[in-house]
Amino acid sequence: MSDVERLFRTYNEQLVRYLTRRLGDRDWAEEVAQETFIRALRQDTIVNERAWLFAVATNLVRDEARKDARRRRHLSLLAEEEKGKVVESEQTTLERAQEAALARRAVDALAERDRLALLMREEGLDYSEIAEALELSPGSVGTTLSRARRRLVESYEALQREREAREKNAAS
Amino acid sequence: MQHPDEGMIHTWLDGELPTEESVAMETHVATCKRCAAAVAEARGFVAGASRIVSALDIVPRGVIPVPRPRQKAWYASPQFRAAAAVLVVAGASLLVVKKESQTQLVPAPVNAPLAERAETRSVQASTRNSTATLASPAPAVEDRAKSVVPVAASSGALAKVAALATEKARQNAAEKASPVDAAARRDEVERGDQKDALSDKVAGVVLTGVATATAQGTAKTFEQRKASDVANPRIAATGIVVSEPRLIRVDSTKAPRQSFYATASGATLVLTEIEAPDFAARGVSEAAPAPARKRMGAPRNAPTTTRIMSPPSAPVPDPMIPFPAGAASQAAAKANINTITWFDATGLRRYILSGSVPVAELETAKVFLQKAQR
Repeated sequence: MSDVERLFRTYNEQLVRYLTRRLGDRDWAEEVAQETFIRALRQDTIVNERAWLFAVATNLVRDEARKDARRRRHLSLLAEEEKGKVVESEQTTLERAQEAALARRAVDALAERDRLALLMREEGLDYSEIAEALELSPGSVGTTLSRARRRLVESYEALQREREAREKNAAS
Repeated sequence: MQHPDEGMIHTWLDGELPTEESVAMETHVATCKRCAAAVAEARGFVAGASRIVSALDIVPRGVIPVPRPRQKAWYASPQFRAAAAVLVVAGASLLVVKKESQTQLVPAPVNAPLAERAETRSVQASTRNSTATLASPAPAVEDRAKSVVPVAASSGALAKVAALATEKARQNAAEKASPVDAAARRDEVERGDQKDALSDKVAGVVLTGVATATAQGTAKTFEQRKASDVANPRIAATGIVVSEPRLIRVDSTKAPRQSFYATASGATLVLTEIEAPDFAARGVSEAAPAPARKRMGAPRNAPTTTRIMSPPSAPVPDPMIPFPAGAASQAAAKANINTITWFDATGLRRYILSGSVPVAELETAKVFLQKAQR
């Protein structure tokens, strides 16, 4: 088994999940993950594999040119969605869909670094890996994560209250 | 130990503190209520954040839609193609058949004696079952009369009608009498005495309907026989000169197309073709009013029998009895113009056939014309 194959088998699932949470689009996430493993092929030595993969994936997402292309694509997709032409292969209940929408809004409200740190942590990356991937000092990861978690939860709860109030108004 | 900050609490909860610091933290939190509350809150945030992040996994897959197959045009479906193919074949067949039927009608050998053509057919038919009639190539009229006699003799009510028909056939033949015909008629009279003995043999000569059925002893009603007669032009309207009406000319300059035919008996028949929208405009409904309209949905082959231009006193020819029995009635029938109407298979075209011949002869002509139109 080649190194890349091993890397793929070991980290693909985590990486795709992280990217999906980050991007809100599994197809896009899979595409970025694949691109990440292709980059790994060209890399001679990788000291900390997981940190390197997450860092490269994060940088790929950050890549403005790609982002713009994706955004354009995403916008056209949204337009398609408007027309009701999106093919949804997974059945999602309305409630779960609403929950996901709130979570997305709350996560998007976080600062980029907080968000990435949190998502990486959720994928099991340790503090040193997160620090390496995000080029942070190891001592600041705890603070970053604590801030991210608090803000995320508070933001989510605020959005929830907002929605409940809106539903109440609509009902009355 | 100092009260740990939120970042350190999260680091501790995440198991990222070095062992020594972790033990110290544990000891402090156990004794410090404020820090214990902060740790409890932090646990809530960790769990809450984790749950919220997990909710992000509910992502509709295929936000980037797979390229959908281009919708096929409505005319590209296999069903439509099959239907179109059938229509094309059917249409082409119809054209060919129509063209053939037209060419059959028009170039009908105008110079050829009709009786001769009928005779030929009669002989051809006879050869199938009997060589007796083949040996004497008598005119078709005579041949038919012979065939009818034994049939008529075999059953009561039928006998009377058939005898009338035979008589009429003889008269028709006599009109164009030739020495051969006369000889044949004399021969026929003689044979009439032996009709019972002959019946089985002669029944074999006649190919269709009446004779065959009678020979087999089947008791058909006259209506049934008449229906089968009409269906079979060869013996249609028993006793009438059976031959195709000959097209003389077609007048298509007027809106309702009119075709003029000559019958074997020399009478002229006029066939008027009227398209559906013209029915009312042409006042055709006067000739055959309500029943004709109703028949649009009913079987369309049943003819409407009407008489026009006849004096009120003149007897209406009974379609059940093809020929009036008395000489006076015959004269009246000759003087009058009878008319029959029918619709084609689509019900959109109406035909009116009229002529100074008995209705039964019109019916016979109709069968030929319908055949030609098909």
